[in-house]
Amino acid sequence: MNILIVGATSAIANATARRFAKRKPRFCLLARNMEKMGAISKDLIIRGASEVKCLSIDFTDREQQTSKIEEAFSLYRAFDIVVLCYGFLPDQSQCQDSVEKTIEAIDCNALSVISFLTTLVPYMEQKKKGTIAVVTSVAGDRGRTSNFVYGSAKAMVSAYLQGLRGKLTQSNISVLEIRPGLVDTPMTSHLTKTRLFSTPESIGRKIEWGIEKNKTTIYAPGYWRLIMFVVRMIPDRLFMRLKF
Amino acid sequence: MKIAGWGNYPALENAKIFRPVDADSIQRTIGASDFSTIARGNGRSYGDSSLSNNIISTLRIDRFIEINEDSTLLRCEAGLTLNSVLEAIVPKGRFLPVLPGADLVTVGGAIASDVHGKNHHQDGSFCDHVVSITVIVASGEIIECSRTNHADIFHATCGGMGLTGVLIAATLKLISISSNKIKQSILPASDLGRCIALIDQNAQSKYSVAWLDARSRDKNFGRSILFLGHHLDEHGTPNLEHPQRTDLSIPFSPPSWVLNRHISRAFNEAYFRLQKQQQTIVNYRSFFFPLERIKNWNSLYGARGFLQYQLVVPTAEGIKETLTAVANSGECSYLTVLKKFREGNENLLSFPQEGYTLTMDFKHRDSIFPLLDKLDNIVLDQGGRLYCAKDSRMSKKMFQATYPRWQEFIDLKTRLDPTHRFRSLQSERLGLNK
Repeated sequence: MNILIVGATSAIANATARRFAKRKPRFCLLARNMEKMGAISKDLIIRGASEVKCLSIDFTDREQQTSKIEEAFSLYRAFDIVVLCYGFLPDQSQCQDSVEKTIEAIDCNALSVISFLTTLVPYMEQKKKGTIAVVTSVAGDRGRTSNFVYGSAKAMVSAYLQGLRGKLTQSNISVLEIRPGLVDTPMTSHLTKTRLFSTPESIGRKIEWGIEKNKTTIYAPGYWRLIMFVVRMIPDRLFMRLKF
Repeated sequence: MKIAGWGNYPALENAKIFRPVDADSIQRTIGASDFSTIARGNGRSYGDSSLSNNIISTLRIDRFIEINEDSTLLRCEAGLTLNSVLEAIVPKGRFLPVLPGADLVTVGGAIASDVHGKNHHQDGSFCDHVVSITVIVASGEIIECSRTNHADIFHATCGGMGLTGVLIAATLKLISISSNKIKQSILPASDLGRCIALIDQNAQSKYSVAWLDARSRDKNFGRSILFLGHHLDEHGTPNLEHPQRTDLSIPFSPPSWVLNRHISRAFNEAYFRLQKQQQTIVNYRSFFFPLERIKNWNSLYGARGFLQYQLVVPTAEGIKETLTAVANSGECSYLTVLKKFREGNENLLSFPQEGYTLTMDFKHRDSIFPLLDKLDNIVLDQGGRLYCAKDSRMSKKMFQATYPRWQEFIDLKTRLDPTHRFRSLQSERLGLNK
C-alpha cells in the first residue's frame, strides 16, 4: 500500500498516518519543514511503516507543486491513498482590515489545495484506482460572522470536491471529504478548550474509517453533522444577529 | 479549566494547560519569569501529583525516536502511552519488562512514579529497566542522564514525581515474547493466611497478583483469588497482534449511590464464590489491564471521585492489621489488590520496598479520612510507606518518616531548581518545596 500525505506535519495528517502505519505501507510525506518530517518518518517506521520518503514543499508555490507531485509519483508509481490536510486558521478581524491577509488565507486554504488537486488528478486517473481524502472544515457549511474568510475558503474546496467526485467515478477513484469540528491542535492553541473539542487522534481514526468504508462526505466527530444541519437551518434574518 | 487526577479528587479549578510540541516550546514555557508548574502526562496518577495552576502537558511529545537493530532498546518521547508503545513493539515480538494495571499511563508518568506491576517480586519496577532519560530542568538546560551519567539526577527523576524537571524522552529496555498470550492460573484462597501462603509458594511465577474481598469476615476474612501468569511460548506462527482497546465507556457519571456496599457485597459474593481453580490462556490485555475494558471506569465512583490508598509493609502481619482496621470501620474498599514486592532500588523517592503491597479503592466522602489517618499509623508502625502516585492526602510528617531520603531529594532539587519552579499540590503538601 502506498500513501501520500500532503501537509504531513499537521496534527490531523500525522494522526491519520499513524493509524495506517501498522499496515506496513510505504509513505511519501509532503510538508514544508524537513526537520519535523524527519522526526515523523522515524516515528512512522517504528509504528510499522515499511518505508517513508519526505519531500519538502512550499504549497503556495504552484511550480513546486507540479515538480513535487511528479517526484512523488516517480518514487512510488502509484498511490492507493492520498490524504490532503494543510491550511491555517486566519484571524478574521485582521482579514477584514486587509485585502492581503484575506487573499493569503484564501490562497493557502483554497486555491493552493485546488491547484494541487488539479495537478494530482491526472496521475491518479492513469492508475484508475485509489482514494483522495481531503480535510476541509465544518466552517465551510455556513459563513459565520466570526470566521467567514476561513469558512468561505473551505466551502470552495467542498464544492470543488463534490464535482470532482462525480468526474472521478468513471476512473474508479473515490473522493472523501472530511469536515472536522473543533480539534485540539496547535492551529487552535489560542482558543479556550470546551467539551466540543476533539483530539486529532479521534479525527485520524474517523478518516481511516471513511477511507475503508468508501464514504463520500463525513463529519468528524459524527455529531457535527447534526450541529451543522441545525446551523444551516437557521433563517438568515436570525443568523445575521448571531455572533458565533 | 477544571482538572483532576484519575481519582477525580481533588479537582483544581482554573488550571492553565500548556501543550508544547517539542523541547523548544517547553523551554520557552519554563523560561517565562516567575512561573511555577508541573508536567502532566495522561493524568493517570490518582491524586494531586500532576496538579498545579500551570500544567505542562506532555501528550504532544509523543514520537518514537529509535529502535536498535536487534530491537532490545527503544528510544521514545515521554508523552507516548504504554498502549501506543505496546502497539508498536508487540508485532516485533517485544514487550515492556514492567506494566502497571493501566495501559494509558505515559512513559514519562511511568518513570516519574516509578510504577510497578504484577512482576515486581521478580523484575523490580519500571525504572529498573530504563537505560537513560532526557530531562529539561528549570534553567532550560536539557540533561541526558543514566546510571553512569548524572546518576544523581537520574535517581532523583526516576520516581521523582516530576519535581526535577520535564521528562521528554527515555530509552527503555524491551523483552522478547513469542506470543501475545499469557498463560494464566487462577487460585482461590479461602482466607488471608492461605492467600499469603499461596503468594509466597508461587514466587517463581513471573506475574502474580491477588484480588481480595475486603468485606469478608470471620472465617472468610481475606478470602481472595490469586492470578498467576507467564508469557506463553508459541512455536510455529506465533500470534503477535496487539489486542485493541475496547471503546466501551460509561456515557455519564452515575450518581454516587449507584456503587454502594450492597452492590459490592453481592458482587463479591458472586465473584469469589464462582471462581474455580483453573488454567486459561488469555491475551495480555485482559491479563494486565482488566479494569481498562471500560474506558472511564473511574466515573463509577460518582462526581466526588474516589481515593486509592496503596501501602507497602514488610510483613503479612501489617496487611492483616490494615484489613482488620478497614473491616471494623464500616467503610468499604470496592477493589482490593494484594501483591508481593522484592527489595526496592536506588531511586530517592521510589515507592517499592520488600514486603507486601495492598491497594484499596474508597469512595470519596468525609468519613473516609479518619480511617485513612488510622491506616497511616499502622503503616508507620509497621515500617511501611504509601505510594505517592495514588496519594492525595498524606501528611508531610508521614511522608518524611517513611521516605528516609527526602532531604537528599530536596537538596538535589534545590540545586537543579533553586526557585522551586516545579511544584504540584502534592509536593507542597509533602514539604518537597521550599
